[in-house]
Amino acid sequence: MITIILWALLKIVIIVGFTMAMAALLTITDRRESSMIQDRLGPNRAPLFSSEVWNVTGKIRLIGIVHVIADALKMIFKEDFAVKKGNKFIHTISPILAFSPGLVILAVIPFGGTTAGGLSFQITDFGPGVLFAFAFASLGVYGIALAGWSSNSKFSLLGGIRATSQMISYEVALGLSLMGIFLIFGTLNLGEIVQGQQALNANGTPDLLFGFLPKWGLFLQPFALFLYFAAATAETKRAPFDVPEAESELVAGFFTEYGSMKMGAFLFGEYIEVIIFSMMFTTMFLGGYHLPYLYSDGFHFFGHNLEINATLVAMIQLFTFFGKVIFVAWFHLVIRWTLPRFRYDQVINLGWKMLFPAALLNMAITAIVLTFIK
Amino acid sequence: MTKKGKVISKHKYTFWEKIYYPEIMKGVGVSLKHFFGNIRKRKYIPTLQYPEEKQEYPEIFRGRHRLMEREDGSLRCVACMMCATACPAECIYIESEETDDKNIEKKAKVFVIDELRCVFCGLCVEACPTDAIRMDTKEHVPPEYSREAFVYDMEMLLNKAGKSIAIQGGDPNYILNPKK
Ligand code: SF4
Ligand code: SF4
Repeated sequence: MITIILWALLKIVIIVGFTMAMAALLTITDRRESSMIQDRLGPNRAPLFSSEVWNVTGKIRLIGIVHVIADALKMIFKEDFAVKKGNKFIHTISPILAFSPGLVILAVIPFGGTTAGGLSFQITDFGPGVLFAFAFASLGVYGIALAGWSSNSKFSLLGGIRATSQMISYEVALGLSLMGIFLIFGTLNLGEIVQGQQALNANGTPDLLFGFLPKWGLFLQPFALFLYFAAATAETKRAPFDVPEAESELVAGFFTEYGSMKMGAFLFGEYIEVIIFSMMFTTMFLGGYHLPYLYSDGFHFFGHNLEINATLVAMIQLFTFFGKVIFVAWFHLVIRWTLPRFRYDQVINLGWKMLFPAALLNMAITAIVLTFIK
Repeated sequence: MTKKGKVISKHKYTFWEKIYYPEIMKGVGVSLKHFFGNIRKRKYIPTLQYPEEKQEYPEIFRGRHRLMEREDGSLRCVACMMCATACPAECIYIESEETDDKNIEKKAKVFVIDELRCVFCGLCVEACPTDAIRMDTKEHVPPEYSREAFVYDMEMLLNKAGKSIAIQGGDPNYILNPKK
């Protein structure tokens, strides 16, 4: 019993710690990466020790990572103001409402294999895990809508409405685009989906596609990958789908009337959403924690087998998962800094007239193909 | 009446452009090219990180003044007041005194330039008959905490960057801003 509780706590510490650290690092990665793409240098000046205070020569700048600390301190010490005629209570809790649902999703994401002792790296092995994840992802919209409403400002309210309509439109396409995956693996359990993507046949040989490709969602549902990527990017409200915010033309959207760490929570929540998106994407399409040809009892590479301890495999898979998540988050940032913003009507048209029918079509074709194969 | 005006043909989107993804991938390709080029050796970034990296100024840049000396270490300035007369900002103040050298007669006792009033026109350099004042230091006047600190006296003008010697008759290969 005590082992189970300790193990659960350890898992929570690992995954939440990873997410928080990643979100903090994404703030600076976002800025430095954008600068590298746009031929600038970006923020790289903040030193770890001020040479005037600490009497040190040479500055430790850690390629700009110190800016994370500087930004956080700045946010915390700024004046925390609330709009006079707004609803103070809702104004205060809405950043939390926008921020926390993302963290709950971490509970159902499998981030490593099973150790020799039968301990799995997934906080809860929950049957309808995907539905749970979608439900909590869509709860995030309440925080944003309420933030817009409680600020008693037209700009905020309109920003909140833009965010709400966009997020609700894309949720449909988001869910439908994954339907093919669920049909193929026959489950809504994220852990089982990941295991299904790289399983061993009954006779101990790897279950491969065309004899060499692992059965990752990437190869089974290439069409859904694009649909999901677009819909999920819209859900994270980042460019090219950042109409809700549109800070360069439309003030700052729903958090116009926010300052200090409350606004910081919205920004931080956005990065957490990016990481959750990367984790879901990895789980669905990139084989989750699987390294190609590495199974729970070692490597199986075209007849050559290499036995590896299951616990060691689980550790390797843990790092594989984090590596994949970091890669997807990085790629997401590249997309974000490549594309200009869609106009509002384009956003809604894309969601309802292109992604939604395409996702339906993908689901229908998958269902038909599956019927004939089985 | 015939219609005049330029006919603007609207770009017809092809199927591949309409489904966005191939075009997006092209854009991502450009982004990645810049990203990797810049992350490895700053291939496309023209930025200079100012206090650490400085750009060399051109030869004709008019910087902070300096006063020159002869090879024997005496002051070149003969206190002729040409520079003070030429100066449009009236920021040069000179007091003269006698010298023992009968060929020179006068030399400057006090020579003060108010670098805050100076407009860096270079007319003082043009005016000087003895090549005693130059603006070729390629340095800015550094920031100070008080206005008084910008009033450079003779000591500052002579020694800020070490002794500056100009050879009689001109020297095309003079040492610019010698450090010692
Ligand atoms: S540069 Fe011009 S303004 Fe400055 S001291 Fe010389 S003459 Fe006067
Ligand atoms: S610096 Fe030149 S122009 Fe000015 S007083 Fe001296 S000799 Fe004359």
